[in-house]
Amino acid sequence: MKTQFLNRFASARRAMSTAAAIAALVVGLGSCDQNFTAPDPNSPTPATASLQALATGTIANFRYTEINEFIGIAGREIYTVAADDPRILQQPIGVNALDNTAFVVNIPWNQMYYNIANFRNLVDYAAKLPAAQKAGVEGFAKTLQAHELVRLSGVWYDEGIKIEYRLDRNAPFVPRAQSLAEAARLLDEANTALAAAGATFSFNLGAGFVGFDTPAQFARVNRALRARVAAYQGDYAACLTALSASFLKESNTAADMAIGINHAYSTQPGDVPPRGRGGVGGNPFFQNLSAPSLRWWVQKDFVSDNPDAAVDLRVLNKSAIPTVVAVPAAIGSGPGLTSPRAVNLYQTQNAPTSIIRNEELLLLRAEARMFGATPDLAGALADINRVRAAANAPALTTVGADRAAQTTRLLYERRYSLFFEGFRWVDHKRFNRLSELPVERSIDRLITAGWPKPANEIPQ
Amino acid sequence: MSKWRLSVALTTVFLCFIGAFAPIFAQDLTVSGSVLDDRGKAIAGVSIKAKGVQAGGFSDKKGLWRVSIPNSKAATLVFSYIGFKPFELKVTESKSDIAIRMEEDVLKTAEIVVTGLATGIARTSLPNAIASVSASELLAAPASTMDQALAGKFAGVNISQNTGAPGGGISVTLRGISSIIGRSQPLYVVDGLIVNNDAVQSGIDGITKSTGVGSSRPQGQPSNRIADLNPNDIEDIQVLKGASAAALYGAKASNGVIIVTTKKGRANTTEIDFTQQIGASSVLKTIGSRVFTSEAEAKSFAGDLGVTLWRKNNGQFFDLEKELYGNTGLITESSLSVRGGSDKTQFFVGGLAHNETGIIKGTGYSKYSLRSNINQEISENVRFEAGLNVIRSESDRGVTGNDNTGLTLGVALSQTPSFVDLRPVNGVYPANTINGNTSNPIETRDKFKNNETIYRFIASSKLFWDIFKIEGQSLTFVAQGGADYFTQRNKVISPANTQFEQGQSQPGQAINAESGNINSNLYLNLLHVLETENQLSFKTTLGYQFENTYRNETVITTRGLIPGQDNINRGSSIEGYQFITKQIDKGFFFQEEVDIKNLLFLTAGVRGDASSVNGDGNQYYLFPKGAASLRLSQLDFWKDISSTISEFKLRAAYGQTGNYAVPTARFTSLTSLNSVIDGNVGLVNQAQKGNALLRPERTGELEFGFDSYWLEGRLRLNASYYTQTVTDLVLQRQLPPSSGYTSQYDNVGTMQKQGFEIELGLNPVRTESVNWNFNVNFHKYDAVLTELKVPAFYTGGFSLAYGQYRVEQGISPLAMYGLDKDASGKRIQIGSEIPNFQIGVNSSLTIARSFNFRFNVDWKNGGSVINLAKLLYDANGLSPDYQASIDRLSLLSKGTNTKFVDDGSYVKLREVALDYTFDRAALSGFLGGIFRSLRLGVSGRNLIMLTPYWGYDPEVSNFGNLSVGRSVDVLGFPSARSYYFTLAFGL
Repeated sequence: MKTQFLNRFASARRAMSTAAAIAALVVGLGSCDQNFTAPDPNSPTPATASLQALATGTIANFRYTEINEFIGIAGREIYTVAADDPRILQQPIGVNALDNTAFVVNIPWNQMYYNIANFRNLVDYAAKLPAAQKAGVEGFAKTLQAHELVRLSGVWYDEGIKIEYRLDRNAPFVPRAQSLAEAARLLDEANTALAAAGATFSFNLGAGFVGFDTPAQFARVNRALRARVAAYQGDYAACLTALSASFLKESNTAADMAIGINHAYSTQPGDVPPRGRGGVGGNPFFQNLSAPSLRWWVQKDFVSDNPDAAVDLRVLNKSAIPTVVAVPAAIGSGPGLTSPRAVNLYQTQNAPTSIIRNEELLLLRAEARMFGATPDLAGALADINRVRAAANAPALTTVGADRAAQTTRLLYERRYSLFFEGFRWVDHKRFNRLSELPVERSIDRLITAGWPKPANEIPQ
Repeated sequence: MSKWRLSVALTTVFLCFIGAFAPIFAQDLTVSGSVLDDRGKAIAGVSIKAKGVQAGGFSDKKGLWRVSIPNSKAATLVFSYIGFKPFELKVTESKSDIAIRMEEDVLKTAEIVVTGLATGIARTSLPNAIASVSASELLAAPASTMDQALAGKFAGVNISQNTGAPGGGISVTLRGISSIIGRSQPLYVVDGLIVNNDAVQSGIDGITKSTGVGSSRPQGQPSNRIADLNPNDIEDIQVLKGASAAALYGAKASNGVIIVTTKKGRANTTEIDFTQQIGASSVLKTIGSRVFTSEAEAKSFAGDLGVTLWRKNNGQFFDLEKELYGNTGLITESSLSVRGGSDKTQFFVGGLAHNETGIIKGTGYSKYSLRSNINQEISENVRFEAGLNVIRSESDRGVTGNDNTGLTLGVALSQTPSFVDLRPVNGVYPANTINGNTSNPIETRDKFKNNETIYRFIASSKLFWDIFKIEGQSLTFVAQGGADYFTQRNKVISPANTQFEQGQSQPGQAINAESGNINSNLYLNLLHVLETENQLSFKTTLGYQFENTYRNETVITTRGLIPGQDNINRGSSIEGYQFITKQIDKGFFFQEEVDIKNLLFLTAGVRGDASSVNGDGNQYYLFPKGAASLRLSQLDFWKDISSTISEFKLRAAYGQTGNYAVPTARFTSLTSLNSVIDGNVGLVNQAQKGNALLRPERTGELEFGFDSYWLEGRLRLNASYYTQTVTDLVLQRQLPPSSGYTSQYDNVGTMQKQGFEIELGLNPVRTESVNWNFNVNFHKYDAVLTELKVPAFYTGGFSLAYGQYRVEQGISPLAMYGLDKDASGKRIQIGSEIPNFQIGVNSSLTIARSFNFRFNVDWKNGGSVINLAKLLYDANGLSPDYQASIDRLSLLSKGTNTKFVDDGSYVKLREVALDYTFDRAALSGFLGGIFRSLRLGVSGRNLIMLTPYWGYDPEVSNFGNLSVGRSVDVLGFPSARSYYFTLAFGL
């Protein structure tokens, strides 16, 4: 009896230790060979991506230019005829008050802050690089991040923008003065970094930055953007200082007006900028003048307001009479909008979009010379005449007798020189001249304070 | 790991302790006899097992059996056979010629129902409301897919097809939804293996432009893969509806679990069964079209083009709907099964060839399936089961449903007036340009191909090892697992030579989508059973699970395809899409079940699950359960009423289950969106921010109920009430875009549900010659979102003007809204997907054991449908009730959608069958008596639908199997009714 008992006990124990061994083996297999925190199988993470891939993606996404269309309509530069989406015209032209869920409000906000996040990502990525490379990435990324802040600050103007990038909604909307100061700070930081970045960048900047693709050259772009911020701040001394270190070139040729950095396009497969139309690559605002219908038209006063319209290349090259559609074309829904010419700013499919260029720098210097503490009206006149000469417009003899006249002159030259590049509404706003913009129909309104604060940014 | 080692060690200690008290005997006992059914016919293959010892066997062809029990003075033998009540025989001495009579278990009181990963219990003690259906109840009328056959058969189980397209696309909802954006479908477990029920997109959305390829709300209406199973292979289905029952499957089970057991072999007999079905199908309901009465009417509809077309067709009414949907489908199905075996080895082999053509010419479905199941007794204490199922299924699903290009048959039909004849003349299809049409739907039907082919291998296995088995206790190791692998190929071809393609910038499109999917799992359980002499039983289960899911989907879209070519290389632009899903899960399971004198049954358990899709993949989430049942009828005081109520059981159960978020939710990744510049591709932030804190959604359910059998089993009444709380509901939270991100998955909501189910079974006539069963089931439930930590939003559908669902605290998650507002300007609810109630009626009448009549009626009362089918017809001015449509549109323009959010009530005669069976005796003189049985029958599925619904079928989902947002009708594939003739024989 006792033996049997022990035998049984022994066999049960043997069986159980076998079972335990199997269980332990399987548990071991299960837990050791498998990674329960494996990375995304479909996409890389910032930790595994290359600097060049991040830079390329960031630069490609940075090509967001649709805001120029929205603010161009608000600033009565152009009108869009979009049967597929009438909101593009109706919202910025003010048919109904812009509400904070409007697509023309949210799309630009989201995309520009998205670009800012991409630039911030680059800076984070650079932390692990050698000092010079790190400085190069920082200098590049912060310069363009500042540019996005300046664009946002211009469109939202009195409503303010965010300069803290938080996951909750409680970051404050800061007034324009503060957002411009933040841009200036970033630009100055970037300028310092560029000086320590060695002779070359450790990544390729692409076709839009040809001529400005070393840290030293790019620092001149940085200073150009800094000059723009200073002018917007009314700090004309700082503006002139920055301009002296920028790529400003005293010239009166059309080619030299275009010196600067650009958004570049191509028809390579997949090369479609953000919000590019219909999945087709190239400049989103290129239109074929012989098409049966055209999308972008100049506001009708664009020609009649210019006494030199017959010769001024800024009219003749940036707009055109279409070959198929008859003008004056009736535009948009409802009566009242007509246009004599279609927009022709981008004459080929891959024509680049300027980010900042010499023509604007000359006008910034003219502005600073006119309105600085010690005005230099002759210098201002010379700058304006350089720009006019490049456009075949007759030279002026004066920039105006008083500040009001000078402002009018400046706004006029900026209107034609920087047509459809996102400036007119902002310029009129900063010189408090919005009321001069035409309101052609009783249903239209001017946007006066700025784009409203997006709904998704307001604390609930 | 360390936790695991600890529990293994503890178990070992515990088991050693038990082993030490094993009593010991030393004498042989041999008994033999026969086993017969209640009509005195021998039953072959009855399993005989001695309780507590390794001994047993099977009855042979003549019903004879013999069992020898070594070292024993007395034993209890348990005789069991599917469909019969088990019979217990106590023997105290060797004896022969024992005649056993087994009784048929009509009301399934003895049915063993699942309670754990390796345990079950007789239905009489079951503490949950678990529904089950056996093979004969499952397929009263033939069904092309298993889920289709489940409709109307259980309380609390809502089966709703998404599309009438051949080959499935069916939603199964158990006790209502348990998620907002998470998985909506139950877990399917076939012979212990979790099988894939995903719906893999065909990519057709890329041609119809209803949405983009890879969208999270696809509209291509694919079939879900449970359709691949052969319904004829199924022995039994058990449905764990609520969390209290499903808790044993933990974090994957909040939509319930459907446990399928396939047919197994039988010892000492070989049965060959062959069934041939031949059937036909036709459209169940049509919409019709506006009748134009004069040329002037045609002119006012479409101007001069209207006049031209009116004259061309002499103003005749052309029934385009009949042309498109009027095909008579032909259905043939042959199934053959062989089951047999010896004492040690049993096998089942089932084969199926199913072919059907649809009610749209060129559509159809075919399925070929071969399954083999083997049970092998390797030694006295080791048994092994293996199953292998190989399936090929193919469907041609046509192009129906929503689109944004005017291509689908439904959309083109809804905008083509009835005076236009689009039939081809000499092979030339007239262009259909009236009313903005971009396609001739007849041409589309004839030239457009949408083919899906599946190859699938499902292998499952189980190993039972009785580590020791002594009187009163046993320890068994149960390992089960296997793999489910399938490849799906979708070939969509829209040839260039159609009106539709000629209107494209690059005519000729083809989609080639391929996906490879594997699911594998391994369950290891230790089961200890202790039965004391005073009728106490303790079952302890300890288990470990490991599951693995991997899918690689690729979709290649070609445009500008050369006419006549279907190779994607022959196009001018080629676009690719790839998506990989990887998920690994692990879990442990512990459960204790206590049965006290067949009177009180108590169980408690916990499951812990970790998954790579959670924010923290290594974190175990615990899902507890507990249940109790009390058989009042076993108590002394019941004796007086036991002649009236023979069985009465009270039960209560609580359990928790989970639902995982999408596998991408935890990642903050990079994308290449808009990142190509000058031929170089780059990377940028994805707009989604990963959430490292994301938890699975959790459903807790408390269920009460009673089960009763009255009047000697003539009446069965079961009722259950449940209340569920779903916490940690996952939704996408909007992030402020200034952060650089726009969304993040997060646990942000709580939902409350309650409902009740009643099942009434009647057996009003039960005589030697007539047996009539009549069952009714009833379900009603309600749900409300009690907490929502994100702003309320509209979802589902397309826009408020068309009707949408609203996710808002304080209202039902399936509430529908439109433009309608109350006097204060607040939007008001105008519908709800939740029905008022659902009733299923099943009846079976057998006369003289040979004539059988069965039917199944499914009644859904209420439950709204966003009826965009009607809106499309109305907006085109082509509704058959044209005058009424003008009023509806005018109401819509005044800001009310109520005319387009419709009552989706229906009564459907799902199944009806009439057959006659000749048994062996009747066939003895026929062909030398080789036939065991012969059955002739006629049957029908969905023969009658009564519904107030304007449209093809209120059972519809344009968006497939969503939790919230299903009931949207955009002119999908119309439903069909089908008729069958059946010839079946057994050898």
